[in-house]
Amino acid sequence: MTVSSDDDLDALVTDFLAGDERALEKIYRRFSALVFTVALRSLGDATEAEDVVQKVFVAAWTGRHTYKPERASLSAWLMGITRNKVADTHQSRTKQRRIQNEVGANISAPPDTLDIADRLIIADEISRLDAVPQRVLKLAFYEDLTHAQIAERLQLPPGTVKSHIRRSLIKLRRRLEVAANAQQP
Amino acid sequence: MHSNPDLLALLALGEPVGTPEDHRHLAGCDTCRAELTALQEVVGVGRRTTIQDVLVSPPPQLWQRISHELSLHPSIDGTGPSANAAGPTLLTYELPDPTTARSGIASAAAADPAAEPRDGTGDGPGGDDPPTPADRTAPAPSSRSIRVASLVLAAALALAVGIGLGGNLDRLVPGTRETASVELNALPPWPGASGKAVLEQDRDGNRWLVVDIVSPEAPSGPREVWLSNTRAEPMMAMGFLRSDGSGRFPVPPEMDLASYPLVDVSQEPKDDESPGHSGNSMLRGKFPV
Repeated sequence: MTVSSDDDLDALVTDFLAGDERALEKIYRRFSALVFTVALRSLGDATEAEDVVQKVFVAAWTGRHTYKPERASLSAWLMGITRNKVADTHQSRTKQRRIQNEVGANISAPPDTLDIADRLIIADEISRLDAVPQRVLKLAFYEDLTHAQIAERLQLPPGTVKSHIRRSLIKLRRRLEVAANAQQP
Repeated sequence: MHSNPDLLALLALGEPVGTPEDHRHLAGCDTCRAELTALQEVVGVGRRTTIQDVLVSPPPQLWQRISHELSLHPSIDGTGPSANAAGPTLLTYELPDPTTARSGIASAAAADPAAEPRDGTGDGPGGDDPPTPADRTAPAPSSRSIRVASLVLAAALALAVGIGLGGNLDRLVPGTRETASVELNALPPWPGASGKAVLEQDRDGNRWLVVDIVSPEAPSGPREVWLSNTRAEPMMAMGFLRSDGSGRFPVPPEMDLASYPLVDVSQEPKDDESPGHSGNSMLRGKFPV
């Protein structure tokens, strides 16, 4: 099973909430790269990023009853947990450094995980769109073409282009939904 | 009546659409304005995505650690069909660990056939091989699997960079130098087509693939640029040429061009449902390695 359509993901969430271990595995397969990359980009350390991934999926499983699908998309919820675990890691690093009294320790503020996460979610979701809607959206995003120009370029009816744009944007929005409010289990 | 959803989507992208009446409604309707704001946010994030926004897969053993910590049933061993394969433009390949002396995608792939790059089109029904037990029992991998989620996205970004500047961008970007170039030769079904591919490096060390083609035949759909190894497997999608036959595509920093010396320009079908190569190659060339 590939978890690509919204329906697949909804079914997966249902199984996950019901305590199906296979659903957790599928969720891991679908989202572990996203979690790992966000952690890696923020922490800059693969070992620590791996630890974060482990903590996130363990927390997601043990705290699954706190996930409310109507309030946040699964990716947003996982990103919320990821941000917390990444912040914990930054914090313990800071403590570690204080303990070691490391000279010249450069305790910089953690990079903005929120925007990195959003961009990664969107980049990932764009890559998961079907071929034609994906092309349409990329032309709109990155070439700044109008829907009429896209219709001409791809030789599609303008109405089709418009509905691809609408459907894709709504799909992407669902992925970002309430990412900021996602709670830590 | 609320704004037409198509209209809101186009407005979010910044298109000057809608009648004065539409705009009056929007100005006075909180629901529609909130919807527009949410869509604008998506567009903003989408347009901020860069070539760097590429997903990296954690090492395969990590699932075992999680499964062990949670005492999951041993049958759930991470070898099921991959749900992570869904991204249609994903390519998976092995990037050498910087701490090892080896470099190059090809050498990593050659040392570990299981890690051979794949384009997700020629495999089984899932389009992606599940990790085999050998993967997991192998010694600590010397390379890290990188999932290149955004190659086509990156290419589209390059187009965004190039848009409005016309062809011969290399002449317009100060500090850019040509590192290799190759004439592209027409394949038999495309008599009269010709082209050139140039590799460039800019001041910041970013690499660019610049392609210009001329073809007597009008495009029957988008024309796409690919890089591949000499076995033409996998094909890395670099992006689409503009209607004038030119394109400038960023080369991902982790991509070892010595392993991808072949340039291929394909004619893709108009309503292409497949992200892979159409099989209809127009022009090919090989960079000297």
